Amino acid sequence: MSTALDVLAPAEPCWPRIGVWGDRSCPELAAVTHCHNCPVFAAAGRRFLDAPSPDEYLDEWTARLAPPPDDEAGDRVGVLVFRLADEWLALPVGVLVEVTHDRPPHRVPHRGGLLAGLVNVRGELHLCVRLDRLLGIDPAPAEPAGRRLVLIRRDADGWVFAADEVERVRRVPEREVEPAPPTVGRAAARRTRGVFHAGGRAVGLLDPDRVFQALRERVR
Amino acid sequence: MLALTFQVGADRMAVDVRRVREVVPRVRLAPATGGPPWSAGVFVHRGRVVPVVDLYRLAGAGECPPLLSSRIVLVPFPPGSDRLVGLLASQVADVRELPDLPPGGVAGGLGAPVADGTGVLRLLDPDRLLAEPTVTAALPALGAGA
Repeated sequence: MSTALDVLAPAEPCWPRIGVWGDRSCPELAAVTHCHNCPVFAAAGRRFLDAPSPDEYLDEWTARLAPPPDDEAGDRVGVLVFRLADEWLALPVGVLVEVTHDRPPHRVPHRGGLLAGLVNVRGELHLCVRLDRLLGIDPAPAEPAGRRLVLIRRDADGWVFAADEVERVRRVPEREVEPAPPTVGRAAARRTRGVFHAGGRAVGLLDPDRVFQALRERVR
Repeated sequence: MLALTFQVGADRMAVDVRRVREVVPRVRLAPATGGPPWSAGVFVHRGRVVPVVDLYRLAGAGECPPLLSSRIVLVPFPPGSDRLVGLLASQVADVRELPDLPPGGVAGGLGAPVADGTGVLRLLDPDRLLAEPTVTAALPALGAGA
């Protein structure tokens, strides 16, 4: 027990031979069910951490730990930045459940408009809505490769919409969110809490209250 | 008690997670010239100089190996302050539930021995270790408690 890593020589992995990827003859399987639960497998995994640290790794962590904490920023709001056609938008991460690969929704007969159909996400059926139409954004002409489905939820209200591109989660200082210009007459502006600048573009921060309310009123 | 386990020489060791502020990867340490032999050096952690104790050298087990699994365990010292001292050890990779130690255990060497399966795990008390007169006297010169 002096070092856990003496359990297994690196040249002799047992799991493809007698474990679940082999003939399952290992007597330990009765107790642990799967190699993933076996201490021998876990110890072998830790061997990866017994490699010498690369120089770049040391440099990166030395630089990352050195700067003092960023106290002056004040309140920040975490938002998911995504694109609908040519419009960059963001939703607070509080309502975000999941971003997943695009899949075609199952159309619901005699229902069109805002409702694109039903999608199955991890065995649960969700209503897939056309957020671009709700916001009055002209749909993108082609199906871009970066399309993702975004699952949002508030209380019992869950919706899925397709984004043409999902950038990432950004942490935006609350005071950098400016009010949307009042001259913008589109529906998007009415459902927007403000605009912030990130990555060289203006991003409209959607107001989740108004988005969920509009979806409830106009889809059901 | 939830404990962070690690390796110092031939000894498997653990420290109560409530005593640990943060675990960071081993970084480039600036040597503390003229410091005590167990000093691994100092590094800048969020704008502050933090001295690092090489537990291997303190235990007379050579030097902590430069592996990915070697990490710096940051503990507040003096206890309760916002000053930190780093403890460098290897195989800092696991957090486990350990039985609570009866109070007043005998602390020999780096820590009190606890039965752990078929082996022995030494429970490190960082406050006690750093309160050793030789260690406490040397820490201010390295940047702690200043």
